[in-house]
Amino acid sequence: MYGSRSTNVYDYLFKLLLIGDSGVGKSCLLLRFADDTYTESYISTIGVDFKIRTVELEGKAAKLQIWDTAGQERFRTITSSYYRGAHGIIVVYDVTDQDSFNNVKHWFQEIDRYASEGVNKLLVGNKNDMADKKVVEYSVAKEFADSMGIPFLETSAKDSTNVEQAFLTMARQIKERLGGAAEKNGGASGAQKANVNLRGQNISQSTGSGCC
Amino acid sequence: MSNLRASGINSGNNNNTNTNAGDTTTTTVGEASSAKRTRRKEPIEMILSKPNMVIQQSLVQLRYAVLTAEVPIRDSYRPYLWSVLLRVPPMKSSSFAKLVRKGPSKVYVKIRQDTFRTLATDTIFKRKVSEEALIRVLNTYSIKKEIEFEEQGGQDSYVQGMNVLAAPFLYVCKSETEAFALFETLLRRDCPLYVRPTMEGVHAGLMLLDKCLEIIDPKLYLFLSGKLLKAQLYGFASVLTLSACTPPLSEVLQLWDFMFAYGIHMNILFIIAQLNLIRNELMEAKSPISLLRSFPPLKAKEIIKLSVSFVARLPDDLYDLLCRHAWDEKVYQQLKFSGSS
Repeated sequence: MYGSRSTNVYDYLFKLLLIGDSGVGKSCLLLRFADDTYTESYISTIGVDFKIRTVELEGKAAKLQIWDTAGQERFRTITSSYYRGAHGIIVVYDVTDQDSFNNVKHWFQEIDRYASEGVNKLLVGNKNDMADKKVVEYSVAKEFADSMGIPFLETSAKDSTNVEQAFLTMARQIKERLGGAAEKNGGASGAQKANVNLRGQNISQSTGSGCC
Repeated sequence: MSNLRASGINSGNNNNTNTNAGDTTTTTVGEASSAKRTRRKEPIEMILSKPNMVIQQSLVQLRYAVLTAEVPIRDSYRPYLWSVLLRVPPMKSSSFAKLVRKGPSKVYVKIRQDTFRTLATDTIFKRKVSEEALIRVLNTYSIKKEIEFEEQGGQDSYVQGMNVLAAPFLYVCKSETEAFALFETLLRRDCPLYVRPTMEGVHAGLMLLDKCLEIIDPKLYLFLSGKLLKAQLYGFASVLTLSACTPPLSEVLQLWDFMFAYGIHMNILFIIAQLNLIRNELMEAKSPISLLRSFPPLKAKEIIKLSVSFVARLPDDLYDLLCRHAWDEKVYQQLKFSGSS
């Protein structure tokens, strides 16, 4: 499995964005998924952070470029530019923090305002290992997610429950939505690869249509 | 002209002179003189412990001593050095306490989200600075801002990253009051545009980082911009936190010594120096973006040496923008309209 993480050849390039209140564990989810580590970080995220991991989807290699944003609304002038180029956006809340769940609505409004139409969305309730402190019930969050027609998962970056599933769910959804178009544009071989890389990194300049 | 272009480096401070300078120097010097007498005093200590009658001249001497210091600055006199260089007069503990007594500010909850995640893996820092102290300093800053907002309008007094800016002050200073006074002055006077809602100062700093890199190291600039790796992508935290986002703290303190002597604009060149130190790895990396996620542990001496050498290479007008970008709104406007980056 580790081999697939470092591969440079890929059939798709998907850009994902992690958003949600400060302190819900966005960076921990990212590090668990990209590096399979859970370490205390030196400081909380300032501006944006990113990681790349290539996964396999039905025999195809999909490179996931995942952007992790600072939770504070003050950073929206910066983070909003990352919404536009994203294929999928994961909204994270903390199952032990009611406010962070209450604010989820707010984050979806941000998506409507800044992201391209049809962008894939996923709701994630993190810190699910802390059963004794849990205040947001599964059923409540699930009902909310269903009402919005988006998938929902409870995760724990700490014990790695459902982290893999969360990102893969998102990647599969994007693949289904974009279908052949994505493969055609994102297909990377030989000389074309550098070009794909190049465009991939410029998330703020890409348009919402197609793959990148 | 000296190879340091000393007058040029100074302009960041000179443009922004504080009228309180007089009191500060004399008062702090008095305190410093009671320091240990067992070992021979280092040049900086000598200047700090002498009565200095002509402020500007003494400051020039002190800055020069920082630039040429052969031994690392000691924790014992660093707080005095910082208050003199930043020209912050001692604050009465009672005035700090009065603000603390006002209780939680509107952004108290947000502050609490970050305080426990401030230099969290630095055990020496954690041992010396309590989370409570960090909360008090940040909350008091917000309380002070909120009082100003009531009079002058404005909103939102806390931005993620301010916690990282407050941390070195609490580590260095002998009291929370002193840490607060230095922190508050730095934010209010030297980099107000870094912590405003729209953070124009940080954006201006990032645009200038690109411009300076283009002149200082055109090859690296072309390489990075060819991969669309602009400063906005990798430099945000380093600009906003004056490089304090990168460990170890002991090296951050040396960078700050230098910045307080010659102006916080030097931080932009510090970031270019950090790029320079990983230049070969960057140019050879399959995925340079991964190397830029976070910089390797700081090496203050090398960073300062490189940065000083960069100063002479920058044209005057660009250097002038650099000196003003963190407090003069016109810089961001000018950069934006000149269609840069």
